[in-house]
Amino acid sequence: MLKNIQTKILPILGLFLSMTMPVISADLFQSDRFMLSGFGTLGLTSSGSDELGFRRDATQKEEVYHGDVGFLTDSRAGIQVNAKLNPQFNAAVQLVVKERISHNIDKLLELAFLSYRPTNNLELRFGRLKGAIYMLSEYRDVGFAYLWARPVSEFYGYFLFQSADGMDVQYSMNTPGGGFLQLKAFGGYTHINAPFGDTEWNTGSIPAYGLNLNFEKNNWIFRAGWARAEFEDGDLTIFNDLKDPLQSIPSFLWPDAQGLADKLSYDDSFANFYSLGMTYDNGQWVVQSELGMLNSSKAILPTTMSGYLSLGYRVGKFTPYVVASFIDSTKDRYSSPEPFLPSLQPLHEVVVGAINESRASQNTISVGTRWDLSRHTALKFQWDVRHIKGGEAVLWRLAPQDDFFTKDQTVNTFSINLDFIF
Amino acid sequence: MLLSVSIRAEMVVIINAENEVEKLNKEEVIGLFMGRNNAFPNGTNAFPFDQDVQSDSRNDFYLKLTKKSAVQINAYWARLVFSGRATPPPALSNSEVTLSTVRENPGAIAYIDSKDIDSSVKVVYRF
Repeated sequence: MLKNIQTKILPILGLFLSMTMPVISADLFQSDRFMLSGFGTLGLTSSGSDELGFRRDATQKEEVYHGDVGFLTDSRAGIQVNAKLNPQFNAAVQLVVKERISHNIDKLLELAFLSYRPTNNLELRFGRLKGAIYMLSEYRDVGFAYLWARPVSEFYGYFLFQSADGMDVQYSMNTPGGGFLQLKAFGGYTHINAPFGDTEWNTGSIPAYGLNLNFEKNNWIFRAGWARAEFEDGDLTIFNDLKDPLQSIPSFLWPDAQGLADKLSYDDSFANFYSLGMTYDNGQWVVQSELGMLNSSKAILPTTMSGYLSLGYRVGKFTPYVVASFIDSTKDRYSSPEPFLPSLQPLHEVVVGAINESRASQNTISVGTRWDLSRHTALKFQWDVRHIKGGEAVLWRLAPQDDFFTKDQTVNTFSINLDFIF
Repeated sequence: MLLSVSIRAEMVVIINAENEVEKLNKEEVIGLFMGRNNAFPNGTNAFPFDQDVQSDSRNDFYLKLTKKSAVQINAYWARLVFSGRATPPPALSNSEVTLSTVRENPGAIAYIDSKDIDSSVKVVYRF
């Protein structure tokens, strides 16, 4: 942890301070230079079956099983300071407290950047940034900013990366007829810190970069994005524990043993995230949809499609809505010829199971309503009905006694969330 | 609420009298107040100011300009602020402060009830 702080935070804070001090020292406490703001959600979630524990996304370790009520699924709080240094330079720092595997300051710091606008159209940011991967990626923790209890889990729950340390560029322009076009590019280093069975998946630094295009006109927003992450190392220890026995098995007993060992690695692989999105909001109807595809060079990161369509209608302070969503690991399950020696059969089953562990296939219908209590608070009620395909449940936590989850299931989730900003 | 909007005097967008800009269209006003543009069409820096966040003036202004309610405007800014993309215009407490701020700041742009304006500021947009 200390090493993390020294290697990551100090250079960012140092950069931040060294570049801002000369500019702000003249009138440090002039009132409109600094803006303090924050957001939060208090949420109660009832969900899960006896085998499947519900979570908002696959980075969460705390889960909700049948009969439980969870406070940690959606509850979170963030605080942010913006500093306006002059018309060209801005800076911001954001800390977010939520359920995570570890809680050191390096993890809590979700934004810490210096922004430079050389012209009205161009903005460059340096430091810790949230990648603009999907429509809600940059504000997925801010419940007040969107309609639902949480960003659709089928779409946002499968994305494991944390904020990235690097830079981004945003070019924006007005188009004839009142349109507004933005092109964003980012590049940096990110990492994954997620639970995997009883263990954790901690990668080292992962280079990630991407592009996206955003076009707004009248009541419409259209978006297209691509992002890519490259895995250099950071294999799961559970994979290494399986690899060693596989590599010691003579090929006349199990011809495919070496081939399977090679599959149990993220080394030199990549993942591409493609996405399309649209929003329509005429003040009364609110329609939003996104479609995404993950593909990679490895069987352990299976090709997966996901998407959702949300329809909402504002009636005074209430916005009732319905959402249909899906995630689907589209390729056939990975399979491998069985060993000749029958006593190796259980190991074969475990290894093939591990390779297929990251599959996710489910369909969901959600109904709910947002209720605007004031200009800064909103209450949300949501009911989700999820149909999960047997063996394809990486979005869920498996109950400790269940090594494999094989039968299709239907799971209900009920949520009450109070969102606020200040 | 609709009644209260209709019986209010006209809302106008004002800039400093020295500013060379003469007129703005609706899209340009939206661009400046919604965090899309930081400069007037002629390229000079623009500094938009809001009325008090709880005020009816602010509510009416954005409802007319964007058809969005105060809650929707706050949700819009929550998306931009917590993404680290932009910050909302600073809020001024009342019409007098708004008028004096625009009078003293060459790049300022604000909105105000037309009955409160005087010759020290220039109207660039009327609803």
